Amino acid sequence: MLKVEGLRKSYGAVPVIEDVSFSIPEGQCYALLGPSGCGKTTTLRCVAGLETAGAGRIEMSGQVVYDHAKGINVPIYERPIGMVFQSYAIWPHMNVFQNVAFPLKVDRKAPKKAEIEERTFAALRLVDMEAYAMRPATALSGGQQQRVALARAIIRNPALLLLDEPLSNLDARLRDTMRKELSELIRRVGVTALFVTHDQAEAFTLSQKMAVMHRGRLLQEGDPSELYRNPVEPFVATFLGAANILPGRVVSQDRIALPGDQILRKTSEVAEGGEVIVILRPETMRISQESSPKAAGLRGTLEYSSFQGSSIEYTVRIAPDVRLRVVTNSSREYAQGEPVVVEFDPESARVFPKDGHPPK
Amino acid sequence: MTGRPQIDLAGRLIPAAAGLLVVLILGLPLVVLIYTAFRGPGDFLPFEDGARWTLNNVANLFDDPVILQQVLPNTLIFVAGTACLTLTIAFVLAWLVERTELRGRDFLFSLILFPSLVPTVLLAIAWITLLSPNAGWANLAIRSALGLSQSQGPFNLFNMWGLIVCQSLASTPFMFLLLTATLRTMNPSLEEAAQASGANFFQTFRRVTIPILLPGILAPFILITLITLEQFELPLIIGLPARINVFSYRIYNELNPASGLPNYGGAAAVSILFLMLGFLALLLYNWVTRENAKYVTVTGKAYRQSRFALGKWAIPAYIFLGIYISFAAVLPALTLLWTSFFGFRMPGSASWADFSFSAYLVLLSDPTFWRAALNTLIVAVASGLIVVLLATIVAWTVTRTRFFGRRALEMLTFTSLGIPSVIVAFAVMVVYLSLPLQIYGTVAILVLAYCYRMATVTRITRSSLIQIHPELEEAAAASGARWFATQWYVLLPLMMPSLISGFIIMFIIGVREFTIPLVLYSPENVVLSVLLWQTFQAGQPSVTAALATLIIVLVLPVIFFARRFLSTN
Ligand SMILES: Nc1ncnc2c1ncn2[C@@H]1O[C@H](COP(=O)(O)OP(=O)(O)OP(=O)(O)O)[C@@H](O)[C@H]1O
Ligand SMILES: [Mg+2]
Repeated sequence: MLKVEGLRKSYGAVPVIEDVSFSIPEGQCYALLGPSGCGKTTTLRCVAGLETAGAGRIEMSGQVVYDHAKGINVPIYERPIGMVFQSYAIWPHMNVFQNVAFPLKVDRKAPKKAEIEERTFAALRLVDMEAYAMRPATALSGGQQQRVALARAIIRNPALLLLDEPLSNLDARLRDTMRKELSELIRRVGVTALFVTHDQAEAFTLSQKMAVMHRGRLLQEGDPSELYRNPVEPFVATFLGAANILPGRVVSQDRIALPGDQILRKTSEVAEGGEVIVILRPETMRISQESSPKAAGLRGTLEYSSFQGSSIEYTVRIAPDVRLRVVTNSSREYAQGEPVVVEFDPESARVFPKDGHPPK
Repeated sequence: MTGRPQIDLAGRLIPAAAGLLVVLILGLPLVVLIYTAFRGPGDFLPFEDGARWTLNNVANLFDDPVILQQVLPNTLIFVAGTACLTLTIAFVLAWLVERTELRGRDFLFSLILFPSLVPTVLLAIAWITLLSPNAGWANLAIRSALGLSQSQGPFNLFNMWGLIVCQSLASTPFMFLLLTATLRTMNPSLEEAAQASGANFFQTFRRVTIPILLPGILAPFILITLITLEQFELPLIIGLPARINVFSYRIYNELNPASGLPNYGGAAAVSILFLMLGFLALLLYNWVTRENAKYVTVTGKAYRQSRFALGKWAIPAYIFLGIYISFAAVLPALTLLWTSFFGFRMPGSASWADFSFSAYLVLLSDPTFWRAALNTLIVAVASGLIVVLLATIVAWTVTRTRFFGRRALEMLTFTSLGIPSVIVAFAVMVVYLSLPLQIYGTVAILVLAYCYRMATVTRITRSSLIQIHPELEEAAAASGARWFATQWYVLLPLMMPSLISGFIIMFIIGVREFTIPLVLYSPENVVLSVLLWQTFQAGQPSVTAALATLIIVLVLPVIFFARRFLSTN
């Protein structure tokens, strides 16, 4: 449905996005996830037509809307899109109804008044805002503004829905409920959607497929669980959730030396003597008093434990300056300073060459 | 243009056309003016057959003893004196109104603005009636009360001091508006912190309030210097009889000499000298306002100000206010009203038998009055509409696009602030005398010349645009709206309050304007302010006063909602 190929964009001499390519199948929701300033908004704005890229090609619903080489650049008002802005951009001088009806009103083939009314109310019903139709836009809460923005974005039946950090303007509690609601709504409308966010929880809930972006590049693309389990770069692993990062050195084909003279038995593709980075997720590890034969274990002393309700978070020192975070739901309590073993399945540990490219 | 969303044809043509118009309105006269300065002989128009290149005009400037010994020093004293006195009066007034528990603040605010709403000529006529050394009513009253036998004084309007005081009274409202805005955006907790540290009122004022406000005062001070430099009405009406020769009058005199032909080249050379002074002030202004941004106090946000109780200072405060308001508003208005019914017979020596409506009847049956009224209305409304439209498009181009030349356009509109109206009128005159357009002497030329005040409105439209989140417009484009629909349905309605303020300000400026219509005067394009001056010159005091009274009645309604739109900008 949406196909983006080799998109590039720079402001002056500073490249902001470099060689970004991805595609979204019909009806799917795709998330671009990345830290602040990585170029997510810029990518989205290029797709919308709010910015003109410097190179590449964009195709939506089989229509080429941008092709640098061929000099094609369809203006934004002719692209089949709907967009939800980060600030929601609800026009304060119109009421809810007028806001939502606007895209129909400015359409070159504007439908009849009765039809506009009918479709506007249908859109408002969809977002559960029918009762607020005549409210001035300035008298809406954050969550209501978001729904109005969504209704306005889908009223033209766009082929592609674009959302820029759709939840970042809401407070934390509302964000949780709206996240689920938005996900359900997008599925119900069945529209193809591209959204950008810096919050991995948002990307996990809302998208069927996602990509992690860093410094203007797409690092990895896949479905959320795959990205979480099999990151191809340390950045992806750390960005998608809490992670312990340990420096290591390959001592033989299936042995990696970790801090504190501990050995991790795991094969890696790095040559002997090569420096590596080992990434361990806190929730994949357990704490026990001695290692069981099947699991890998790192010895250390328990430095701190903090009760989190459903789980306990431990800080374990495995070498003078190296600490591990472990989150488990174990019921046994350990005392501070107690020697413990941190156990994990060697398969869950990710190994990356220290300065180089991800293993293929 | 790469990097921005595509803007459709209308979105490129309309700004381009507006940009071109602005260049024509603001830029062309300036270029022609400079050209004129180097063409001679002086009584030839620059493009006329027989005119050629010459340096005489500029050379004459430097061995003209009048310029060096009179015009320059007189202008300097006039400008410096007025700027300082205006600042002092306006600061005290602004501080009293904004920061003390004065009673009737809204009413006082409106009264203080009075001089900025009526033509300065009108004030000058009233002041002369009151304070001229021989027959001024105040002088007569004081002489008879004290039993003085001299035939003059004690007050004399016709000297440098008189000129400076009158000009300061007339300029105070402008300064007052700027200073109230500064005071309102000052963070009160800074003062409160000083008081909490044990500083008393005067220590707080001297050590905290003044230093914090300094940048916010400096910028208006430079502006008032610039504005005083271009004043023409009072130098003409009060300065000339006192043999004070400032540069604006000098240019006027080159164009309308007592005998002989106009000297265009000479006028242009003098203009350039003073344009350079003006630009210097502008550069300074730019530099000062840039520094301004560093001060946390100037946030543009209005704080809830704590007000000082006046206590034993209440009486001096009310006396100060009373003196200003009497001389700037109440006495002039009453004097003119009285004169319109009783002629020059001052209150006390007149009886009801002298009362007559005849001045109004004479005025209302004079077709010139009706033409002047209609012209005033047309020029003020037309220039207001054109300027608001152009200023909006220019501000949009500057803040929202990367169009080629937008910085130059911004520079040009800003620079136009520094161009005195005598020079504007003169430059416009030369342009349209030279072009085969047949608009010289019509109302149209006045409209074009009045548009010079565009910078006042671009400032308003710009700050309004900056406050409108660009996503509001992008959302319209993403909804399928083209450029024009986006501007029409989204941007214009959001900007409407500022556009209305801009229009009203332009309207008031248009009604007050005197210099431009005087220099470009023809019987066909006479406006009320010029007619007022002419009837005054013709020695018809009660008709003059009747006309003045009608003008006051016209602007009176504005006074009452003035605070709403003037104080926000
Ligand atoms: N108009 C501009 N001129 C110059 N640089 C810009 C401009 N707009 C964005 N940038 C730069 O481009 C980079 C990417 O910006 P972008 O807005 O796409 O980031 P983002 O990933 O959306 O970040 P955030 O999460 O903070 O919204 C940033 O480093 C930003 O500073
Ligand atoms: Mg962003």
